[in-house]
Amino acid sequence: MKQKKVQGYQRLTGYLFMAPAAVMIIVFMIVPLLWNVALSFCSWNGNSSVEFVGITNYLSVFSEATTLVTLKRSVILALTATSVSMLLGMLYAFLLYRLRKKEQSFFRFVFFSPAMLPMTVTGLLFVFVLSSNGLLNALLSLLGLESLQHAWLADPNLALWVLGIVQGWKGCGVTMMLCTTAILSLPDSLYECARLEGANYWQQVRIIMLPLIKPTLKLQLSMTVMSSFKSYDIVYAMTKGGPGEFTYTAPMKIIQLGFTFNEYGTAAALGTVLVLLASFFVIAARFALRGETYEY
Amino acid sequence: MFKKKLQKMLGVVLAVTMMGTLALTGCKNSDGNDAGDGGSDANAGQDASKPTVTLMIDITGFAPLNAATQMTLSKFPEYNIVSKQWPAEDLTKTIKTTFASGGNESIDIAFVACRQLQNYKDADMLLDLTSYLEADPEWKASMSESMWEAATIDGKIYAVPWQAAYPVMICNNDILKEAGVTMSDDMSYDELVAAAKKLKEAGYAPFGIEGGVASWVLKQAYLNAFDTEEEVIAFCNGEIPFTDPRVKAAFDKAAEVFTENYFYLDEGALAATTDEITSGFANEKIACIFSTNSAAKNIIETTGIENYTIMGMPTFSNTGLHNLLGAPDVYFVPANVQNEEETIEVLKYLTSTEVMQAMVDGGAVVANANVDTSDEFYAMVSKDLDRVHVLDPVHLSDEIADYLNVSAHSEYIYNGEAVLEKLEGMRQKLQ
Amino acid sequence: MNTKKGSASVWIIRVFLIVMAVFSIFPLIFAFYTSFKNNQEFYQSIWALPETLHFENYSNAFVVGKVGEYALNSIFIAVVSLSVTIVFAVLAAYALSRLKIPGAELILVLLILIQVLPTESLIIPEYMIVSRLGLLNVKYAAMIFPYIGWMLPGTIIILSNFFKTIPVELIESARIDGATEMTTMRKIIVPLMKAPVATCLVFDFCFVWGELMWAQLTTLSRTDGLPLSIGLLNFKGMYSTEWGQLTAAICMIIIPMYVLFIFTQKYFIAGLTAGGVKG
Repeated sequence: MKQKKVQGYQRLTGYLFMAPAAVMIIVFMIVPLLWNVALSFCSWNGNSSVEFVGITNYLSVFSEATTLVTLKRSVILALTATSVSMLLGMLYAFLLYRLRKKEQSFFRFVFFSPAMLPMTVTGLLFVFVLSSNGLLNALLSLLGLESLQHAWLADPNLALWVLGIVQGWKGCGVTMMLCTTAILSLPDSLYECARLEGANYWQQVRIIMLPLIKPTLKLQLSMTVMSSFKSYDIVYAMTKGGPGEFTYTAPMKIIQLGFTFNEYGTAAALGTVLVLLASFFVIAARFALRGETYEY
Repeated sequence: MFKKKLQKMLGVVLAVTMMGTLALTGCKNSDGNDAGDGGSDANAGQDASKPTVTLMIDITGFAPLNAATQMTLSKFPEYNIVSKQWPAEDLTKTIKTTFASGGNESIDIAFVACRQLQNYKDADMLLDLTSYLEADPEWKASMSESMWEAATIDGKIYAVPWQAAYPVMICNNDILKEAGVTMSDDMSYDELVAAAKKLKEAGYAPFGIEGGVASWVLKQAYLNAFDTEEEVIAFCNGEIPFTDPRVKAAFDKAAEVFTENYFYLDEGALAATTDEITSGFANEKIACIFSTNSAAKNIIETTGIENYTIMGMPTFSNTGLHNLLGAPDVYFVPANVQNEEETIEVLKYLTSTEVMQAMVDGGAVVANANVDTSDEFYAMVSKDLDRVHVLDPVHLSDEIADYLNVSAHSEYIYNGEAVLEKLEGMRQKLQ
Repeated sequence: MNTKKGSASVWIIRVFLIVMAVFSIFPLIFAFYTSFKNNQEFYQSIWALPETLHFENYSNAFVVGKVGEYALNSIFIAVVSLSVTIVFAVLAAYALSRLKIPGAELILVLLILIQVLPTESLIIPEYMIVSRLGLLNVKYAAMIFPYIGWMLPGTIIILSNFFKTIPVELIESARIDGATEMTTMRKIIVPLMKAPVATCLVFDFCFVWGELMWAQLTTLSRTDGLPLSIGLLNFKGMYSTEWGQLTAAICMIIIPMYVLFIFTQKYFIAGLTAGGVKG
């Protein structure tokens, strides 16, 4: 009896605690999202009245080659960026943990700084680094690797991968921060056993730290996948979707459909498809990292 | 020990600063809401008594527009004129969003390149200015007919041209001399290629263009692809199919100059940014760059090239026609304008000879025919106004416009004839 | 805590990290020394160090970018939206992770998924909402409210993830002692959450500080309440950009972000030693 009462009281408090956040999220995120979904079944040019057209927009998304291919590009970009961001961020976090406090602070600052710099400057910089006669190609020829020189951002086959790598690099600071925060909350006592048994650092990482920070990894993986599907600024700043439309990703196509072609219904449909596609990948990622979570 | 104290102090200082700021801005907030606060008028969000006219035309550092904005601000003290920076990339989003929401916010006057006007017209977002122009013949007469043509859709005038923009070729004479090459306005395609080859042999990039406007080359090619002007007009009106061999020849030429690496950055030419081109020209690696006529002055000043010539963009064809693509910039008024009468009055002033003259003095090539154009540099960047051929197949539909302006050119280089079939499909849809 | 600090493997790590650090800090250094060049110098040689130091770039940028005026606005917007976000998020995250809400796991996954839609898809409905709610007439409000709404999902997710690592026994024992949920929160949870909250503060601050699209939209007919990111627009010319002044303005603008980051580092250093508390 008392147990139930306690549970009931907890639940009530819980709802109360969630209420303010829920209100803000519903009004400013969920309502616009639902509006988009509703619009995806209609036709609208931004000014006239809204007409219901059923699934015509979705059919057009899947039948227009130029639209469908942007989804494929978004997937490639997301996978590349996520891999780079996660691997690099985790690497940094684990390596940093070996160093002294002061050094850790310094390196944390350095590795997080790309995330804080506005896209305008980073875009300018990378355009000149990746230019056909830019820094990267110059470096390659210095190292005698001239055969590897490319027009990094102009080659349609290459540009997307390059963009993914740049995006991953920019976002790895966030992964690093979250992993570091997670690692810091692991108590000392855990390592004593391992040390007594003579395990080296990397074994400790593999057996103790990685499994224990798995929830954080799962979380960050989901967030990174999600945000790399939605990225617009980086692609736009570096290639504007070019050459031509070869690096047009789904978000850019959504903008084009809406603001250039005045087809907001199709844009909303593409947006909804993108959300479903991204959800699929996020859930897949979470499934890959499923398992027990530990308390310590 | 000391460090901890220091950090604590820093925390206190930060907290105090934030409190102070909060208090200050809080005070400012309530001040702004006070009626009759004359001192901080410039900071007041909105002055309810005066009609508000929001301009989105100013660009920092671009003297012509700075002058125009300043003059307008002082000319109309009875209006609350709000001036916003013109956002090249976000303009469409801004206008369409405020339009779609149906609220009280609106941008009252903005400008675009006339080829983007159709986009707004298709969503019925433009204010029809025809009646205002008919009521004021003097206003209408101040710009030439071909300028108004750019702002006319389906017989109605939706915008007022102010800047006559067309592409020019800026050549570094020192490089040309060294390579033993001459460039001229009316070069044929073959002559152009010959000159380019010689420049390449001398170790220079013959041409440079920003990747985003590489389609200018294509436009020049197809606007001059036919033997007579009548045929050009027919093509622009959608009467000649895109699969016509002459059209294909134009596309081939536009592709060839890139595949033969006559443009700066070779394989990377299509992704070249303005900054890369400016840098290349400044370092004397490029012989001739293509740019808008109004940008010429800025480029010369930034790159510091002293021995230069400016001429209209070549035709990339062998037919002897002499057309030049042009997309005048036009002021337009979105249809959801709040204070229509006042806005039109401001618009008239913005395009008056007085303001236009100030813009000429600032270096812009204006559409107003009554201005004094005796400045030498001005003459150089405006002498090709007669060649400007505003009519273009992009007027046929949004789809064709976007395709031709953005992707057709680069796609043709990679996918060839499939592009022409695609365009033909788009044209057929309209038949 | 961890193995000896001076061994060879640590030195290898140091070298690797320093090489990577050069790549990471390069953009910042590039922005910094470009801010002393004028445009002509910049185009002559992109990578070279400035020949003459054009300090006037900073004073010009301050004026052109209206840094002084806009900075106050940005600070206000940041302080208000961040405080509210953190408070709401801590409450919600605690509820979702420790207060036995049915379907909590599902709610968390949904919070991730609703963020996928690109901002540009949201601006039209968002603008309509903000307009109908009358927020556009109140200085700052049209920016603060949506920002809070946008930052909440991410912040809640991160915080609830860390809440889950707090052992249930700690909380249970407090409950047994008769503490209300609020007291439990205050006395036990909050001290343990310093590092995650600091992390969220940094992420959220960077978002608010640099957000442009929405800020621009909601301040169309205002001349007050404009944040710093809008000031940056003033440097984009019609056909070119004043890179010297723009980078100078950016260097000035990013200082608060970097300061905040450094300031929150002490919570990480504290975390390094406090790890023992839980054991």
